[in-house]
Amino acid sequence: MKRNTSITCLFVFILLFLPVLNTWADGDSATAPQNPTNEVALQQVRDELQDVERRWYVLTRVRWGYPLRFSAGIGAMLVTQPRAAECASACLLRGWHFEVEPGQYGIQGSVGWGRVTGATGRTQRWLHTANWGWAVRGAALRTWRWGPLGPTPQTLVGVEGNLSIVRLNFSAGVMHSLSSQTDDGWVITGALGWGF
Amino acid sequence: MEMRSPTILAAVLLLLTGTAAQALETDQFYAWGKPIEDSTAHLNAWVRVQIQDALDAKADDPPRDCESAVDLVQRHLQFSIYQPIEIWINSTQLIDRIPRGADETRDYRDSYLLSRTVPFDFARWLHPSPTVEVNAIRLGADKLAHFFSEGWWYYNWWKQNRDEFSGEAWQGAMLAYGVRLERWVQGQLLTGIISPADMEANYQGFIFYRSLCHGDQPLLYREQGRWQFSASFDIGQYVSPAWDESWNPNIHSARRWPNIRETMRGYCPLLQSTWVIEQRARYAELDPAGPDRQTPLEKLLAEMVAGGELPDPRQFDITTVCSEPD
Repeated sequence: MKRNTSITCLFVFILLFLPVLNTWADGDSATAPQNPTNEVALQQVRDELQDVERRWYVLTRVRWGYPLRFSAGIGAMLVTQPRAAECASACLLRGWHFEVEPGQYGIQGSVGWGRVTGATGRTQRWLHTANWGWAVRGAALRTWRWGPLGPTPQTLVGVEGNLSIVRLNFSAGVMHSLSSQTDDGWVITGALGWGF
Repeated sequence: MEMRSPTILAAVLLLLTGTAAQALETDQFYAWGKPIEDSTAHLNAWVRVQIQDALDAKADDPPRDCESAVDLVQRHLQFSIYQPIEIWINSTQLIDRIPRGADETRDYRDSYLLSRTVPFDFARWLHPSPTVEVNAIRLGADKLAHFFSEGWWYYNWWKQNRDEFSGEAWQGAMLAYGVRLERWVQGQLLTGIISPADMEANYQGFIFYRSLCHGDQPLLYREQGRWQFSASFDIGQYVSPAWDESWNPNIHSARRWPNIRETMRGYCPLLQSTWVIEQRARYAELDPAGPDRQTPLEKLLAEMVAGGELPDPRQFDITTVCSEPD
């Protein structure tokens, strides 16, 4: 009988203190009973975040700057998003961004990586409101005749950085003219506009 | 393009960034009487997933101490501008909210409290935050962004300054720091709004960050060498009626207030509705205004109002607005 009591006490001790023995921290851990509702919710959140698909979103901008002067760009961003995600009022996109931008004095194409928070409203896939975002893209620019870079059409390649804050778009880049015969064929580009 | 004044450009960018960071406003009146499912469980779950995934991702090279673990966790809870929890709330199917979807969002933008203020109002540049419900308390999703974002700022302030104060004196100094933030780019300077509800959420966020490593039962602990986030986390422990801007009114600038007041007056008939009467009675039980039950922030704001440093928020309360003649 006495032995049985001792064994029982040992089991109770182990049951009571085993979780504590497994734990070491700056303080004791806060443990709580596993609420089934919370665990169901946890699984639902995990399922939603892990059930993803690839999507294209259209992005647009208009801007004024150098050397294109007035230009309008249309592009797309390839993102991986939860299948259930909706972008009507706000969502985060991050992925590869492609853009073509014809302008008053030339046309620019660019490819790069970006991240933007914005909204599509009713359009579902046109992120017309860029609240906050940035992108870095490699760009190729072909100027028309009689532009700010001179009377001869030129081809330039370089890098452009973009920042959009509450719809306003700021961009700056550095490009080199493939047509230039001299070493000073570097051009600093920049523009202010609307969109992403 | 020639940049003649990069300083001006930098100032504009700073201004816009500040605007984007804190211009998210909300309107709980808009959701009055409309049903919203409680989101406590899913919000708790999202926080647990974010924190535990961040910790598990570093399982092979775990943080050496608890504060390092907090730094790791914080990077998943706070971005520079838009906060992850607000983005998630706006895009998930799991959180019930008002408005939801494109049509409701448009209607909300057209009719929320700040929809008719002044031309080019910074506060209207971004979409207003939807209303969600936690433990039968309504709050703007922006409050949860404040909780994780400014709460972190408060926590850093506390870590850096607490030793300079004796006893609990740091608390008043930290809340005063919070009020200064709210009066600068976090609120009044850019949007003309001082939000006691925002500051309450900030303070509760501080308590959350502090509870990760401090207190009797820290929310972060190590088990078999791996950092764990306690399943006992409950956002409901932090949320109070003081987060609901229809209960805890904002202080508005004189320039914006006439139009906001006009929009607010449109909700006066609802004050007599059963739904609103019951909600406000419930809030009154949870958040009595008596001086013996004031939160530390409420005490500080009351002192500032008494000292003439702050307009009295009660003049912006809907019960005051609805009791005034047209």
